[in-house]
Amino acid sequence: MEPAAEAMRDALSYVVVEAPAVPLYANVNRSAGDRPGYDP
Amino acid sequence: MGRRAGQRRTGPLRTCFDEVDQALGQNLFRLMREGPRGRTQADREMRSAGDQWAHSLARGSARLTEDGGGRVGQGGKLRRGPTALANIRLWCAAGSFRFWATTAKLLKLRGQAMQAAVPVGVGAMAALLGADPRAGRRKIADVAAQGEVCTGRQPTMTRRRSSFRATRAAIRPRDRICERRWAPSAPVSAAGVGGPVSIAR
Repeated sequence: MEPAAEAMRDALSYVVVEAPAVPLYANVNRSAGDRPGYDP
Repeated sequence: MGRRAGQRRTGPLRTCFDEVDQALGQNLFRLMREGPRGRTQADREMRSAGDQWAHSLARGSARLTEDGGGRVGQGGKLRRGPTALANIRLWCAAGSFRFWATTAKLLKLRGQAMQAAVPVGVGAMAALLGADPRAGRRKIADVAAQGEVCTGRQPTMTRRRSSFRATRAAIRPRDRICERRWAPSAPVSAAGVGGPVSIAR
């Protein structure tokens, strides 16, 4: 999946990401993120 | 319900579908209606997203309460699921992507990239659910040592991708971590989508 992850990282680097309207917490590590990431 | 809503599409639903259709150059509702059979991973992901968007927009809640990807919990927090599909859609639901088209393009790219990374019929997925975290980490290390591709961030919900046979052989019934509860052995498509192998304690 690493090639897919690389493609997504590259694509996301060009995307304008606004601040989320509410905090987004990952249920995996219970931490809040500030950008979407690739997580197959 | 999503498909019925997509058929009626008015107001924000129409805006969403028109924008996505224009961005992708394909008819999302037709994809939802005809189903994913014989289609690519990217089409499957777009169909799933279309169903959820149509459903949520029909309820007037596509933003901030997207089904499947996350839900608004106490204190107005959105919970992200462990998968990128839910992840990307959830960022969309929280308003981080300004346009529906952005989310649609990302989802389609993700499907294409995953399809390209793993040939159809090769991928498989297994999960260690409810496993002890330490034992889960040891199991992941064992699997990684065998040279299998392995993704494991949370031992209690670990997925590994390899051939179906190798997955079944590596996690044996007598394993202390889990007992096997095999899902029907349907053909496994790229990245395990379509035929996940669930192993629960």
